[in-house]
Amino acid sequence: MGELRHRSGETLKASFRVLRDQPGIGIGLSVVVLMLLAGFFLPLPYSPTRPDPLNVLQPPSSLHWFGTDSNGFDVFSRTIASAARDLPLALIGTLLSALVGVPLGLLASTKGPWSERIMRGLDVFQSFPLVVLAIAIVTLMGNRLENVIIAILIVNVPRFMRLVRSEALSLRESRFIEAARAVGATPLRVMRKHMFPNVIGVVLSQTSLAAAQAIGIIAALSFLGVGVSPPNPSWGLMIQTGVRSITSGDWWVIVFPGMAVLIAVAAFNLVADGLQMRQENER
Amino acid sequence: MPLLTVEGLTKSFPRTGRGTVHAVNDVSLEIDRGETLALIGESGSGKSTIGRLILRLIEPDAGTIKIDGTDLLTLSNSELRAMRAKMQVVFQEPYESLNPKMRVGDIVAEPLEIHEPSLSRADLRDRVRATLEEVGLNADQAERLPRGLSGGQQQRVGIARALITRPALVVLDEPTSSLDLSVQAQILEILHDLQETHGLSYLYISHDLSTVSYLAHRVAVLYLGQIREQGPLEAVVQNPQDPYTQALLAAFLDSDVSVSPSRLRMLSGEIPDPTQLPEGCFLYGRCPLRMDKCRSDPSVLRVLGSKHYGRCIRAPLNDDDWNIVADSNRTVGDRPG
Repeated sequence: MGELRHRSGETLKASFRVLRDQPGIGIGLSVVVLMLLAGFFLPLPYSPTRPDPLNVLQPPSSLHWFGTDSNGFDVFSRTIASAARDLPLALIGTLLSALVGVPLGLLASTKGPWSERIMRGLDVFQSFPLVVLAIAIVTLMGNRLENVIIAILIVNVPRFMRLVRSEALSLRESRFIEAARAVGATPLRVMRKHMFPNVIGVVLSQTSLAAAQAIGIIAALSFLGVGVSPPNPSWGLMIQTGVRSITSGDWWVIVFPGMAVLIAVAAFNLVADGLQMRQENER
Repeated sequence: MPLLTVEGLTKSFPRTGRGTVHAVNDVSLEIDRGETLALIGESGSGKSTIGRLILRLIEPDAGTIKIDGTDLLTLSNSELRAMRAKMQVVFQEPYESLNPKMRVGDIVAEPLEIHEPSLSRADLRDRVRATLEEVGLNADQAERLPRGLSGGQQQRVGIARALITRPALVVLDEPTSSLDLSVQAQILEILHDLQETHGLSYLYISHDLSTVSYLAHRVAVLYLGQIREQGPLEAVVQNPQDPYTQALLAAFLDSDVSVSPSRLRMLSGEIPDPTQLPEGCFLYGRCPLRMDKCRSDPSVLRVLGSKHYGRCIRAPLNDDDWNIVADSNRTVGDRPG
């Protein structure tokens, strides 16, 4: 028990050291957490789902901080409220992709006829532009929120599989894996105790990279009218509304949700960069 | 009955596009309890492959491997895994052979977790500590990561991992070749002491004759995946009966090996391509003593003395033979006798 406590203390210390050496990880994570907290808990001045038809296309003012759009929605309230929808969607989609892709990638790294078959199947699949494929599939399957997650899976699972497979293939040749087999570890134990801890680092950085992309995919999908449907708030949806107004010079409708997407993507990329740097320093 | 009996071990690897590499060719050997057999040979002679074949880390094409009378090649995967408690390995690269994400204590504990799963946490920790101390490590180094240790300490961890299940046979695959000289000596001493205390049998794979003469009881000389000569350390080193052994010893003249200088002749040419094995005696193309018979007669190990075997059909080679051949072969650039 004492040893356990001692160890968790050490882990904590190690995490602090990582955060000090790679401040990007901490900054990026805090930004994401702040956006999530704001999205869920910040009291909003106006309802993000009920428009005010009398106040259409108001420029930013003390009443409407980010102005209003052509339907009379308050841009500030909608930009904040979107974080509570777009970010969780992106995170869930990415985590599910990792959860499916990592074991499949490990499996595809084993010797055997059908690991080769999985990879060739993946080649065929990936020869399509995946984002386009995802949009096409979601459009065909219908306009539901779960389908947005499926789109993220379609784009990201193959990437996780390839990444984990190539890492695992080079690990499999390494001496310590041979040593583990030599002491009598079962294939499952080799995977769990020796392969997994050595691929988790790259998986984590790929996860935050994928999350950044998922934000983009969600925005693209709702921009095209797939996924989040109005009047529910989503950055992509807001940008789409803003496109119609920008020709008349009403810039605020598109700029604020656009900035939100930018900040979210940048935050995830910061985390990914930091994690990757840490990986490289360890080698 | 010897602890390890290997018979007719053969392994070849396909080389993409260009035939098959005949890495190990019909190797037979035995190791008694508490005995060290050294496998020596140049790099590429198949030494490490033999070590891995004996541990069934790679599958042989043909042959039998018996430990304590159990034929390893007939075992199922789970039976083989259970057997691994009795046969262990220490690799050449100390750092690469340790999982960089695992603490030293966990690395050393792993074999016990696998083979004695009923052990309590406290017993496990005690065994790990005792084993670490036995190889000259500090018990509180168990908390470190391999990265934080020196090369010599890392190799001690490798040895501790190999020893904790009290194996009967340990394959030592050039365990000291990547270490500094002073550290080498310490590691060899530990290996020697551990053998004395636990009656371990070693298959000691090396190309360094000075370490071989410290650790080995018997020596097998490998050339092109084939044993050229095998026998007690003194017999092979003082009285080598194969031109290849003699040439190999010549390369170690400056070490502490003492052989009559008239026996040390260099071979001509390079090791042949292992995709095309020579006919008859493998050494024919390079041997200063060759005769037509060497090509036509089958190349087999013959008894040369007490437990001393060799392939050269001209054995016993005595100094006079050598001088005659040396005189007739002497050309410009030959080393003066």
